[in-house]
Formats: sequence, C-alpha cells, structure tokens
Amino acid sequence: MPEKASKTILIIDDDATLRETYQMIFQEKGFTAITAKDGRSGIEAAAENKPDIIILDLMMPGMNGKEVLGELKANADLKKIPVIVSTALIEDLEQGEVKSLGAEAYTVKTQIEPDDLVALAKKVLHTK
Amino acid sequence: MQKSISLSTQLPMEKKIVRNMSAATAILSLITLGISFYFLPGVNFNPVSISLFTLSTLAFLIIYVGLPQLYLNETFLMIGDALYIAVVTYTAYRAGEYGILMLFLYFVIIVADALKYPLSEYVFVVLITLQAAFFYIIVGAPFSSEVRIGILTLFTFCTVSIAVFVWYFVYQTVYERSMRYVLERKTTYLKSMNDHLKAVDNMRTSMLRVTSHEFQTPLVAIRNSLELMRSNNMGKLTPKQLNLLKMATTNNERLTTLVKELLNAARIEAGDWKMNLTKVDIRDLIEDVLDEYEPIMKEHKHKLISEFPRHKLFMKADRDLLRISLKNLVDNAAKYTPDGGKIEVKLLESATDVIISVRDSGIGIKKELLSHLFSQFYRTEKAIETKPDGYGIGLYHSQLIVKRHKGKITVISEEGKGSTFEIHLPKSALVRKSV
Repeated sequence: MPEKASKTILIIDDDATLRETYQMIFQEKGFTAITAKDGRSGIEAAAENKPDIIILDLMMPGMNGKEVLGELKANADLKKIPVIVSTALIEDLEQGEVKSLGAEAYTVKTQIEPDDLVALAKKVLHTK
Repeated sequence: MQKSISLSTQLPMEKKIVRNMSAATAILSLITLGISFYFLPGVNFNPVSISLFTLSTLAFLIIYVGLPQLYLNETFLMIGDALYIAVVTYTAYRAGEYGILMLFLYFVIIVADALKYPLSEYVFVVLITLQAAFFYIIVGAPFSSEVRIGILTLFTFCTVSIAVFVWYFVYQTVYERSMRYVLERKTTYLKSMNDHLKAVDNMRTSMLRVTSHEFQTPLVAIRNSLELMRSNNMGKLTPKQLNLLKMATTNNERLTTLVKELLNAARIEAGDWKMNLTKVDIRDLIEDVLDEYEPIMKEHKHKLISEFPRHKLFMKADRDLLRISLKNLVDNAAKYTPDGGKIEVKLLESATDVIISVRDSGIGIKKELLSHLFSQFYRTEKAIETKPDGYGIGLYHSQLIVKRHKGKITVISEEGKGSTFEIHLPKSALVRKSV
C-alpha cells in the first residue's frame, strides 16, 4: 500500500490549549494534525478520518480515555490505529491497565517533552 | 473520697445509666435498712430518731454511691462531705473509746483515697460495712434502749451487709447489662464513623487526582506554548526575547517539579500511593538511577564510585517508589557536592538489613540540624545558600517511601566534609531469585 505523504494524527483532549499546542507541534513536524474535544467526537473523528495514530487524553468529562480506548479497540475498522495515551496525572498507576486495553504507549504529559512525544509517535508509526 | 465511677471517659448515655442506677441503689439500700429497723423489736421510733436515722443513712449512702458527683455540683459535694464528717465525728464522740476504731477506719479510707491507692471492691465493702455497723449501733443506741446491744450489733451488721451487697449485686448486674447495650451503641457508632472516614478518604483521593490533573494541564500548556515560540517557525526572536523565554521555561519547569513533588508527597502521606510490590533487583535499581545521573555527574566532574556485592539481591518492594527515594539521595549528593567531588553509592548488607549507602564529599550538615533533616520543607541555611531553588521535600518524601517499606533512612554528616545517607530495608523483604 503506498504511504501517504504526511501522517495524520488525531489528538483527543478536552483541554483547548493542549489540543491547540499539540496540534501546532505535530503540524510543525510535518504531521496532518486533527483534534477532538471529547471522547465521543474523538471516536467519530477517528471513524471519519482514519488517522495513522491517535494521542488520547485519559481524564476527560463524559467518556474517559479508557472508555474511548476500549471502544476504538472493539471497532474492527479502528482497532489497528495505534494509540498513545497521554495523561496529566502524575502517577503511572494506570499504565498497566491502559496497555492491557491495547494502547501502544503510555506517557505523562509533564514528563515528556513535545519533541520526545513527536519522536515517540514516529517510532510507534515506524514499528507498525 | 467518693468511690463512685469515674465519669471522665463516659459517654452521656453511660452517665445517665450510672446516675439512675446510683439513685436506685441508694433508695433500695435506704428502704432495706428502714424496713429492717421497723421490724426490729424494741426500737423506739420517734420523729427525732427517724430524722437522725434518715439523715445519717442518706449521708452515708450518698457519699459512697456518689450521688452528689452525679447530680449536684461541687458545693453540694462539699456539703455531703461535711455532713459525713459531722456524722463520723458525732458517732466517734458517742462511741467514746471505741470511736478511735471508727476514726481509724475513716482515716484509712481518706489516706487510701489521697494516695490514689486502688482499694479492691471487697476491701471497700468490708470497710464501709464496718463503718455502717458502728454508725448504727452508736447512733441507734439511745433510741433502742430495750434492745440488747449484742443483738443490735449483729442485726445492724447483717442488715447493712445485705444492703451493701444488694447494692453491689444490682450495680454489677445492671451496670454490665447497660454497658453491653452502650457497647453495642458505641460499636454501631464507630462503624458508621468508619464508613464516613472511608468516604472522606475516597473523596480526598479523588480530590488529589483532580487537583493533580488541574494543576498539571495548564503547566503543560504553558510549556508547549513556550516551546512553540522558541521554534524557528514562529519567527525569529531577539536574544533578549529568547532569554525571557528561557527564564519562563525554567520557572515553568520549577513549578511543574514542585507540583509533582507536593502531590506525590501528599499521596504517599495519605497512604494513597498503592504499593506495587514486585521482585526488585536492587543492584539493577541503583544502576538505573546512576545511569540517569551520569550526565549530571560528568557535567559537575564528580567522581562516581559504585560498589555491589557479588551476589544479586532481590527484594519485595515497589520499584518506582524506591527509585524515587534513592533518586532523591543521589540528587542531593550531586547538588550539594562542589564540582570535582566524590560520590560513592554502595549496596551493603548487615545482619538484619540491606543497605543502600550514598556518600558524598559535599557541604555536609551541622550535627544539631540533623534531626530536622527529614521534616517537610526543611532546608539548612547552607543548602539554601548552595542551591536556592530546592523545596525541602525530597528527603521527607524519601523517608515516607522507605517507611512504607518498613525501613529507615539514617544519616551521618560532618559540616564541610560530606554526608552519608543510608536506606535500610529489612532483610525480611528479601526474596530468592527463583521466586
């Protein structure tokens, strides 16, 4: 299958400033970055745009990140899209749980520099 | 000198029960004595004898059953005591030379009370029975001239004994039953309190989670924005603008670290950090931390020496937590050692403990300040002078973690020469490699 010119990344985060800054960071690095402000619209955006990779926030009102992940992985069309979970929580107690749900990687927002997150996304895409 | 039940540790319910029981036993004893005397042939009942009998019996019972303490205030209590002393004095006066014995018994009770000597219930009952016997013989004698003194003595002794033992029996039975009831009530109350505390604890945990999330999100947004501004795509910045951006970034990092450390400390202190106990290779853990610090050690030209036993040591521990604890010690050693210093990290064993020792040739700590070292937000003047941007929570944090592992952190230090911090973990947590 021929590769797309630029990879599409979907950023699902309820915080507007984070969505915007991550979108700009990924765009700067050559990604096509689209965003969704909550879990439900995130799943819809994934179904519609078929992104190459998803950055998913965990703590969101309404449908939380784990529920979104569960639904993505249960959907035959979307389950192959790699998901990087990104949380603002400081502990990594949920790391195991999130990985068992099918996430490719687990990151803590304060602990991963934007450049490192881009590098991680590239690495995940490369290994897929 | 009351032998009544201490009320200080009782609930309102208990006080009420004791109060009602005391009143009931006092009345019961009084009626018993009254009826007994009524049926005793030869007793000369007249208004004076009945009044004296009633008054003195009341004084006697009130004092020992403790009614004044339960119903009345301090003034009435003193009146009760005064009345009792008057009765004792009068009886002793009427008893002539036998009064000495009466006074002696009274003296014994007072001294025992003053010395807080715990008279057993039986000794107490014997003492007041003897006193009561004396009392009725002496006080009652002028009004019962037709009764032989020997029969009156025996009768009074038996009657008072019965009254006191009835009181004692009623007291024990009713009190025990009541206490069981009170205990059940207390248990129910404590259970509901426990549920309430659990709910509060859960709320605190979720508050911490939310606080953590709410604090970190804007910090990440600030960091991302600053990062974007620094990148060339946003237009070229002047050196002054770049410098300001660098300052903003540094302070944002400081705030992020502070928030993270405070929340971690709060979590650990609240017992909210679930211990994820696994088999941890302690050498591997130390090397992991040292690898992380290698660039910093190189930057500061520190000579880093590590020493491990030949055999591996596996312990049941929370790797992430222990890592934080050790990292704080290594971080301090690197921070508070002047460039070109020596830092030694060793894995040792004592008879009871596995020890991770971090020794530096740094600024050291005054002996008198060592006891404050593990307090939250505590920093020595020298530490503030050397590194103004610390928060004084690293060691506090480390100690909480090690304590959760049933261990301890010790420190030996000499100002100007360096410090040795040791994490002691009990060998009971050692696991065999094969496990």
